[in-house]
Amino acid sequence: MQRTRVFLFTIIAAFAASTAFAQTADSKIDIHGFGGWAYGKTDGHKFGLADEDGEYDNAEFALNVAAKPVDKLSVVAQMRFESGKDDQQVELDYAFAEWAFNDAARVRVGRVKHPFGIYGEVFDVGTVRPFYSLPASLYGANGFTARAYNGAGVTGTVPLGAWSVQYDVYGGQIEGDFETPGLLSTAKEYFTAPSITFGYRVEDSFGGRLNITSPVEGLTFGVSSYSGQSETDISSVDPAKRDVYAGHVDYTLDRFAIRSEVGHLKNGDDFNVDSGYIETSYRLDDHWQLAARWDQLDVTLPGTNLSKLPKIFPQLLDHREAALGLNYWFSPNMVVRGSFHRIDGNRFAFPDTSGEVVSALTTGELDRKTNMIVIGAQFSF
Amino acid sequence: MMFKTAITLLLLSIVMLSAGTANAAVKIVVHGSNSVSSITKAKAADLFLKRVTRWDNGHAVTPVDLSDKNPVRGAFSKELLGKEVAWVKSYWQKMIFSGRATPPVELSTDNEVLEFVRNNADAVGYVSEGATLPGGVRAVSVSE
Repeated sequence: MQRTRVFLFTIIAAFAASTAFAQTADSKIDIHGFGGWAYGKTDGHKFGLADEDGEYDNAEFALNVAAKPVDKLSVVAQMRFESGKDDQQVELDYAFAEWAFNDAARVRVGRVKHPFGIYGEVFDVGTVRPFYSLPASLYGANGFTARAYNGAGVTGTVPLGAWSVQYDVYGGQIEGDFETPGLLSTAKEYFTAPSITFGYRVEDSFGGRLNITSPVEGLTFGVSSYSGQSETDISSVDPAKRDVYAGHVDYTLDRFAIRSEVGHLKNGDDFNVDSGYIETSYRLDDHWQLAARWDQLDVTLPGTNLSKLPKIFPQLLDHREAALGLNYWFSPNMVVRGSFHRIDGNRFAFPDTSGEVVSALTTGELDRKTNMIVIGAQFSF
Repeated sequence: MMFKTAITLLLLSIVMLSAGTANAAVKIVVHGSNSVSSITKAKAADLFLKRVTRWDNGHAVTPVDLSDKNPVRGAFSKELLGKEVAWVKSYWQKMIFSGRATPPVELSTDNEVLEFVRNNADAVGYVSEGATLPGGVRAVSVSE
């Protein structure tokens, strides 16, 4: 409740300011925002924003304020309010100051959006992507990317003839959430909860991203990487060195887009994750858009003898998802969308209740397949 | 097998590409004191998309856009940026919410743009080709 009040106060204050400054010809303050709501239903397991009963409580709203107090200084902050079945939360997405020496060198300090892959910096913005949610393999709560890093970095754009290179290097702490099947939580401790979510931090991290714009219209590609010491809120999990590598390619024209990303995460000797997705979309006209996506992830546990673990254990380590979507764009700032998802594997599709987990352990059987529909709307301004 | 099928389907969809170009008439305008007399299309795109934020004299560029309700905006987007307005809107959403940049001020009419440019020495805007330029504002030629 307290957080809700804080958030509402922020909104009111921001809009009060906006009446005086926002987006006028003399503006030095810009107010923007985005949000969305979705209904999700599966035929069995819980997955993402959906469960078997049908979940209506998936709503979010974010407010972005950017100010330019003096010529080379920019200050940007974004607050996000999210309502889900189990909780409501208000979060500071990011807040940082940027000093621009020139276009090739901008220093950023604060809580900065994590420059990772294609979507790392626009994690929750539904109007810049073809599906309601991002692919779970790289953008799910599984340690590849968090919403922001706390620290300092340098970013810039360097034109190289017909090419252009945008770079980011940063250092500090990366903080995020990790959700995992309860049975997979740690090697030392099992949980019978369907899934558990815990916080993690990658301390003393150092990373960067290169995004290269090619002379071929619409074609960009690049790499992202970071390394640091991973720690979690769970005392039984030992700190470990985390190394993450990813590559992306994006070919976007006015109506057609196809993009793909692959990533590898190594968390000490505990686990490795290999992820990747490919998605495409096509605008039939100014309003209707078709979308398709293939998403997959594999977790490996070096040094763990799976044959000594419960029979259902291996299927908790992978994820395969095929999705088809249909979008109706009222404008570039508002879209209504529906999608069907066919999931194989239980890395992200968990049983709904502890009873089902116990039953799966007892019988050694857990349905690998999950079908899901999502209907929702997303907007930005 | 499923993965190969998915890739095949996605690549096949490339053949659905559509393309089209508008041949509209717009002119780019700057303040009368600006020493720039001509720019390339690529440089114009860099300025209006804020990929380049400084004039050669080091001053911050102040681009000004027309509202998307104005048909000249669509013509400018296609001819100078090579994109539809929807693409440009999506580009700005990414820039805004990643904290990288905010879009140019949007004005409704040619006259408002011309007035803005006349009052801002570092501004760059565009208007319909038939617009009459007031004193203190001049057009720059655009090359490929």
